[in-house]
Amino acid sequence: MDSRRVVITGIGVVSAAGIGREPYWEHLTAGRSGIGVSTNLDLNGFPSRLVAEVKGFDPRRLVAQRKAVKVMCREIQFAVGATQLALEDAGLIGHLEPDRTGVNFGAGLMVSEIDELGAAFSRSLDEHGRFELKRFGREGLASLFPLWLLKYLPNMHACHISIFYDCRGPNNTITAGDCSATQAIGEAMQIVARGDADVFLAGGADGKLTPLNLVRYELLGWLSHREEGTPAPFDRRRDGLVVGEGAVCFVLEELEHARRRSVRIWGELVGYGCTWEPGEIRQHSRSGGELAMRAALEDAGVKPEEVGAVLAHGLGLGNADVAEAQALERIFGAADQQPLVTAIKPVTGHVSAAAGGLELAAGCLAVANGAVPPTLHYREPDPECPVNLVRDGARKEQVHLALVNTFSFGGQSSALLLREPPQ
Amino acid sequence: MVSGRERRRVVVTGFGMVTPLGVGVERTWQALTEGRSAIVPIRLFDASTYPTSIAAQVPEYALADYVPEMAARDHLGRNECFTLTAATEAYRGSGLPRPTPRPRRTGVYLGSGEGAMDFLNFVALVVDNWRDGHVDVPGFLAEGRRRLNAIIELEQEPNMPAGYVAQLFGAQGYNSNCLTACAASSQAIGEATDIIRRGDADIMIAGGSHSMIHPLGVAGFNLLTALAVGYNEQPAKASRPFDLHRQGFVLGEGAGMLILEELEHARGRGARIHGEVIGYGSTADAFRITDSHPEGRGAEAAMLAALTDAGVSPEEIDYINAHGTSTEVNDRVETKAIKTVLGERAYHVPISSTKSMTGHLIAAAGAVEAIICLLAIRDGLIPPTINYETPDPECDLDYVPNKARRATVRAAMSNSFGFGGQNVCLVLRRYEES
Repeated sequence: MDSRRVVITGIGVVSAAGIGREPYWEHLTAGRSGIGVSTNLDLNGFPSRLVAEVKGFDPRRLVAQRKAVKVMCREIQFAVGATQLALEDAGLIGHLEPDRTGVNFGAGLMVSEIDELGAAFSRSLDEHGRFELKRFGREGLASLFPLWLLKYLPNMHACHISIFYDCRGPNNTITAGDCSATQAIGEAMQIVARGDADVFLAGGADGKLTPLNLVRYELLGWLSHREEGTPAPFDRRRDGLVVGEGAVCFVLEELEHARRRSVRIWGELVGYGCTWEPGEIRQHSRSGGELAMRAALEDAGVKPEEVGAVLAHGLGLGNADVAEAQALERIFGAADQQPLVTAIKPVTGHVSAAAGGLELAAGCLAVANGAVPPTLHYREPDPECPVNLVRDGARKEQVHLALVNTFSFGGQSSALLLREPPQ
Repeated sequence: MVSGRERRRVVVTGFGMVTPLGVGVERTWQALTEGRSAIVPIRLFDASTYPTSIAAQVPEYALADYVPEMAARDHLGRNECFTLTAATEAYRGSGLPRPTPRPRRTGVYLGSGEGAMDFLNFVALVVDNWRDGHVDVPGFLAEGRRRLNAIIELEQEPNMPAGYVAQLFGAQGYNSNCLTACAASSQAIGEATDIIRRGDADIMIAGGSHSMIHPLGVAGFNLLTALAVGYNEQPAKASRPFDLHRQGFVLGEGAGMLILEELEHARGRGARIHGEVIGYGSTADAFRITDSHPEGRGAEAAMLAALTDAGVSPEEIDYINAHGTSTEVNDRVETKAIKTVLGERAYHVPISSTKSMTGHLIAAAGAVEAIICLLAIRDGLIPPTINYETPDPECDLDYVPNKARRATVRAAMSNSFGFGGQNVCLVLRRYEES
């Protein structure tokens, strides 16, 4: 029995570079970064003041059930908002078949708002002002609101989405670091292909713009300390990530199901590769995603020379960029033989569990618009990272196949291959 | 899924566990079949004033005794140690060479939870920077950089255990982690099964680990009124699934790991086969984040999907390892769903909740319970639901009360229903040639 074909019929984006796919595309092609000095958090004195904040997100417009907003942390609201946008794009609001619709969302660890915990901890101090667990258990704990835990659980993206839109089919939450969205989408594709669903809401959401997360990344040495022109993937001056927040959702649909509705198709998911790369687990750099990219190509029966564009992971971090550049060279050849490569994290920031989805959205829009967005901040090519980067403006190009690459600390590595819509 | 179509079969060639009843499968199984409870006053932190001050904790052990090559690795979290220990037991039992002879065809899919945060340091950071009802962020950031440890922070990430398992055995194939709350490790087994079926791997290490017995974990569940609060003085009686006087679950911790293998690959190397994963169903309640659907529609759909995938009828199920958390809602709704799915047969199938003894391992529960099903199949012995003292008229099925029971078990079903409405059901069967 042949596998069913899986296409994308809706795209929803909530990012620092625009809410909605049109503003997102506009930011990408105009080279307008969503990165700026932090406004939601006071980062004065911190070596890194730049973040990619979502601006102007209105829960009243994008989160269908108002009362639920109180029990949804910021990232969960983004996830639901991106899903609303994707469903509107696909024309499926109110038209989903519950038992044939699944949800798979990538998520990161969500840390509680520290003011909520601060209030509880401050009620748990002894007469010398020291925290005492006995007091926390007796008094402090009760000052947290009852659903506090649920506000931050990673599986709540997928749960709220399934509740809001009545999706009763297969349902998963992937927490695979920077590969989470890529894998959520890849697995959703497999489930639709094997016939257990006709429609899947797949994507990812993340938001590391909390004090604890920022301290973590800083201690790990991953954050850029530059005041501007950062992150700078593959550039000689690159010095690390800029953390972002956001969410992305795709409506995946079985091809004939989509054709019957005469809906616009953004592209077809034709390949998915997922591997683990040997090396030090606590770091990002290993083999740059080579095996996963090859696996995605093989899955689709596509040769490297057929690929028109690569949406690189492009972290802008040390040896990770070298590893990825070398992987691209091994697969596609020297820079002058490579497809167009672009890295969009200078526009979106690093949104970890949503990253692969943001890159796939850029890939879909590149295919639809016949243009590949530029890689910002690329001024001094690094001889160790010879990559055929699109720079100095978007490049007009008819892209038939776009490859998305993601890899994570922890060793996970995943890639997706998108083809232009079938005729 | 079309049942009965030609597809690759997935068998279990190794399993490993770390549970509050002991380190290792046989130790846990012995305790389960004897009806012993692992629930005690919490030792991991001072929970004496918490509404719930009891939990099922893994007895202290040295990682060096089980996974010597990882013992020198600093700052591994509790859940990571459980993962490595259980995975080592499973892999060793499978007889596969190390590293795996087929790295690209060997993958890892876990449902592992996050690690525990560096609580006391975090609290100090917050308290020391608390000004007029807010945390002073610049102060928190500056002190955080001095007080917190990069590696301790990184090791809390839920995708790290899957990385370590891959590293331990050289598995370079598929690698993922899911975190669908209480369904996570069942989901991992189900998804790993599909990965082998569709030809993307021949061997998958699947399972999960979790430990939420920490100040914020217990606090979170107490706030939800999900935990039993009236049994602090009688911990062994606290987890009482299906009993009229049940009040909520009791937290446990641990890990369960399985080696899943494509059948011909397993036979080709003469592997010992413990059983076969024949069915997997995943659904969502799509109802509320706090409560199961009152008719159990998501649970019902998951069980039906698993049975259909397995190509078996309800008559063929000889044992159900229930989700059976000991909450008022779950046990009632699960009973209802089982009746809907099995019909009259529901009254004749033994059902037990081993959470009565292990507590609720959250993300790790599913994998541990799948292994328990395989042991029941192997030994023809069904572990009991202990603390079953007063029947609840709304829970009127056979829950194998208090004592293990001898019975032939050819096929078993394992339910795992996650907070928020993500439901998973697995069907496992004794391995048979055709």
